[in-house]
Amino acid sequence: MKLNQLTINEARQGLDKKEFTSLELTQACLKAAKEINPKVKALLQITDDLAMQQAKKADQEIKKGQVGLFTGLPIVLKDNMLLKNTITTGGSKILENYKATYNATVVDKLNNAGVIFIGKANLDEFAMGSSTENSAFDKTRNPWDLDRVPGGSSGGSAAAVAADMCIAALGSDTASSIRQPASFCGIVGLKPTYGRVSRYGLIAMTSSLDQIGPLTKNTEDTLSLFNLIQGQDKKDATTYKTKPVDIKCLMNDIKGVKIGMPKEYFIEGMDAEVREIVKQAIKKLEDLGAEVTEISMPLTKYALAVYQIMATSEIATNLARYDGIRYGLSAKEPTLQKVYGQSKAQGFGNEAKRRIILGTFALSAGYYDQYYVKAQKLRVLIKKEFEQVFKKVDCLVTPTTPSVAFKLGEKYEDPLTMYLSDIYTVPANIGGVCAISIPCGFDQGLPVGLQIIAKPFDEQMLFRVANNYEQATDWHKQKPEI
Amino acid sequence: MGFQEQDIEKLAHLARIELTGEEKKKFAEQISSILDYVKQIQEVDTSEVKDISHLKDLINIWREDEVKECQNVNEIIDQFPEKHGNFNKVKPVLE
Repeated sequence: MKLNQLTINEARQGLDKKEFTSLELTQACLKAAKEINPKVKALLQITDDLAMQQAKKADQEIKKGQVGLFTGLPIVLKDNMLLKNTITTGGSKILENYKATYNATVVDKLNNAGVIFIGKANLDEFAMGSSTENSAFDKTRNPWDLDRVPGGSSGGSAAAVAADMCIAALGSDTASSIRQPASFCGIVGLKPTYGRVSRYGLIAMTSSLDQIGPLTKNTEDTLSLFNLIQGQDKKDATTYKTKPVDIKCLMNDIKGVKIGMPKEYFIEGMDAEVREIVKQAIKKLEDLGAEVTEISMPLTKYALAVYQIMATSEIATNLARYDGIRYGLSAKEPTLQKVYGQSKAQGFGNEAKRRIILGTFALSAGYYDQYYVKAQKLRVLIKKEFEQVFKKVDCLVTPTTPSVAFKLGEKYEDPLTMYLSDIYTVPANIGGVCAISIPCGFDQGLPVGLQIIAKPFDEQMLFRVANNYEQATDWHKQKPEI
Repeated sequence: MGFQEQDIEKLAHLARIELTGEEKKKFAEQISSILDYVKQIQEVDTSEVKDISHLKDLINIWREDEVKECQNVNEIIDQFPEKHGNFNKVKPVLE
């Protein structure tokens, strides 16, 4: 096995046993990145110099025996997380030349743990999209089929992990953006409970839903990376005081675990083969001792509509800061109004503009109650529906997406169809619960994801169920040929 | 809901963004179709919901209001599109 293919644990063991150095591991990842990236376009920037410098430092620390789990491990960051003195674009032309002036809290945590930053991953502009086609710079390809999308918006992070350009990656998830690309690329991706990971230094899209989370090669790695980044942050007032998850939860079997299968996630219109594969995966969980019951969550079907209003409203507000005055693209125009209007016109892509207009409408006088307040009220009811269900079951299992990865261009011109690919992932964001996607099979050679959803702050349940499934299958070990 | 180009024009003005004629036409169609999908939220009875705050058990994080040295002044100033010394230069606000 090549060094860049290792998982977090395997890499740690190899480093600790002095089988290889962090420099060698880093060079293996950089080499893979440079060979594969021209085809897959997962990374917007490969941070060679920084990586080599960090790797040398990590090797010195390893020599001194001052190591943590992450010392010397190469990681990729989605390019909406600020890494000081490095270009951070958010996938937008408006920030094409923006150099971050401070570190995101997750970046500080990774730095303190001694990780190596290999590069910044491509994304849909400001994380708005489900295919990474909305990036102002490149269209990332799915490593399993270069004619298909990797999913989005963390498509670059997912493709970089699937193509072994790094050991693990961070992404962000507002409606689907970690789980859907993880599913499309055949890897593990976690959306933590809202408020468990600091958003300080994450370029804001929908502040009340955005969460940073790991994309990795197996469940144990996701747990480890999650433990590193989670916890309260004084710089993000929406974070909670929480403790890391005890890794021993992976050892527990799932005998007697109550799993709900919400029938609204197996509706007409989803791909029949994907449904079959997910049902087989659920059967496997039953074989492992879980008690599976069909349940109903009638408000599920409204989650995407609620999201459209909430997200666009917050986007219209959040993107107003890119006005060409303090940083970012600034149009050379004679008046202040023209500077605003043209900086945005030249700097934002289609999706950003469309969402700004829709959000401005939803928040405008006369429509505010009908759209924004109504959506907020429905959000409360969706949250309650999750609370009720989690009184009866320990977790829910669903498909992550209604189909496997689609072709580039297939949904690009039809925003509503594109949005529908988030239909199974968006309820977890609206409900503020946690959810993970793990590989559970292949349809026509393309990965299928199983989504597990648990109540707020119960990530250990996700890891436990996911790991039991993983130990009994080998889908997560499959690698694409690129 | 049928959006016309002039509706989009008005919203674009509120958001201080300039759109081309083609964009206005396209967005009018696309936003109409998205709102047709979104209108289903009106069927749900939400009359029992009084409080719409989404994080109930969080309290403010307070800190002392102390003067501290800013570590990244130069980096921030470097980002200004136009500057005059250490000042951010903008077009006249009042004309």
